[in-house]
Amino acid sequence: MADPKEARLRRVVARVARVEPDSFDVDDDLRVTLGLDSLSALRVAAGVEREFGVTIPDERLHDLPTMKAMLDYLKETP
Amino acid sequence: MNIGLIAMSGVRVKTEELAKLGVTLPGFVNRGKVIASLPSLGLLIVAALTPEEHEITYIEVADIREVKELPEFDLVGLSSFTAQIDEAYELADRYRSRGTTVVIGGTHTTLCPDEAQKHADAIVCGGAEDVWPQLLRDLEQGRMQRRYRGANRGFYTKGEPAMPRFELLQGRPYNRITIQTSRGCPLDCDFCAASKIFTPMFEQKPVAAIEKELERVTELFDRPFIEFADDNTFVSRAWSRQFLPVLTRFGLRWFTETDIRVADDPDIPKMLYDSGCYQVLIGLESPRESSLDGIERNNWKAKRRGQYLSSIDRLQSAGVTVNGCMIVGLDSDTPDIFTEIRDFVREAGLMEVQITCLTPFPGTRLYDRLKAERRLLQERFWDRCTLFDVNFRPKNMTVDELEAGMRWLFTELYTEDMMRDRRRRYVEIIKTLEGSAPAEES
Repeated sequence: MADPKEARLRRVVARVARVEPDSFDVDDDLRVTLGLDSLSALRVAAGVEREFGVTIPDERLHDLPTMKAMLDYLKETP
Repeated sequence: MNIGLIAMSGVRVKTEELAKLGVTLPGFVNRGKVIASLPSLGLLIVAALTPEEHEITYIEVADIREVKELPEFDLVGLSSFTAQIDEAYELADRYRSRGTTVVIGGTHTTLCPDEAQKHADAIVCGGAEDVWPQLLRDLEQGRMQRRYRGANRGFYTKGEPAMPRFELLQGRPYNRITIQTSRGCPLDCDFCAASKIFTPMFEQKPVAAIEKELERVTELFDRPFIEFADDNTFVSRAWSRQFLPVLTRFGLRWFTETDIRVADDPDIPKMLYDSGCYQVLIGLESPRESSLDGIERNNWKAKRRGQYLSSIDRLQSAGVTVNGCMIVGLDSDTPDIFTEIRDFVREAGLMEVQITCLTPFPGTRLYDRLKAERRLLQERFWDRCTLFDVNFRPKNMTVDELEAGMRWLFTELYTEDMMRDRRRRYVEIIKTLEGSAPAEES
């Protein structure tokens, strides 16, 4: 059964990239696989902050290029 | 015939100090890099105008810059802006020296036809529509003329516009695909060397024709980012209200250039966001009203200065980032213009800013005026028409002051701190917008 957190994160990314939530892997570099540019990455970050109630440090806003990086960040964030 | 269409790309800043800054502050050259890596829509239209019996190859000049043996063609077509024209001439001369027929077109050729003529068997001034098929027929019959003057109006009224040959771009690493929705501009700025030189009119492509191009592009490319290759997309409210819902259906992300009136209609900013608009580039030109005075024939930009802040806020609050384009070196600019621009950018909360130096492109009213006033630094400076290099004596400061002021402004506006602030502001705006959006299905 899929990790519920991963499923929620997939929906966030899919909504920004305008693709289906199952169309990318956790290790995919979303900039390459989905063509997300810098503004798209910020939209994903905004979605993550809203969905999970976190505030990503400003210096990391551009530093979460994969689902795995985002999930790891969420794990380490209380 | 075997026809090679060669796009000239890769503008490089010439002033050494600025080139170094570009390395340490990559933000300031981002837009320049994007422009330099866009495909040549003009050549894709030329390809579309070419009868099927001819074979077409589309090449970026970067692909053949280093090769010893140029690819062979019966006919080479070159299109170039001013900054790359010398490289285009060199390439044209190489091809002609081995007996290949060369045709040159594009903005610089239209502005300086006599110069281009020296490097080509034929030149095309203005749009290729109407004349390119005729040129090919003439060439095959051995009576090609030296100069063809293409269409300069009525691009969208003589039947369906030609579908650009987007498939020629397949397999190449373009970040953006360009589509044109209009030609010309209702404004008439004295420095403009863009599509205004191709047509004195402002003409908008019918929405149905753009829809077909969008369908074609989305068939060919996976999740393309679209750059509308217009000078001023959202001039007409009625057209915008017709176009944006169509665009929304494609679920694309896109960018364009337009003027500040795009924020006049209270519904348009949200329609832009909903349709996938990431950014609009707006030629604000200056925060100083006296510097705006006189740059546009009807003084439209000076009259609009009072609305800059509220219009930018309306767009950005709707999630559409504004890339505010500023020009330094205008006649009313004094050495304190640089701090004035920095303060304006901060006050406006501009998500992105592009600082360019006033550039007298040959053939423009600005060029003629500065030449008459003996303010041009060199007689011929085409490779320095990069928008960053200074080519004239400013009226109220020295050349050194202008160059130093630009460098200072770049370091002020493109620091990591400033970039970080902008990113955080954008995240907060999107959170607010998405928070008020209808809940997603789970």
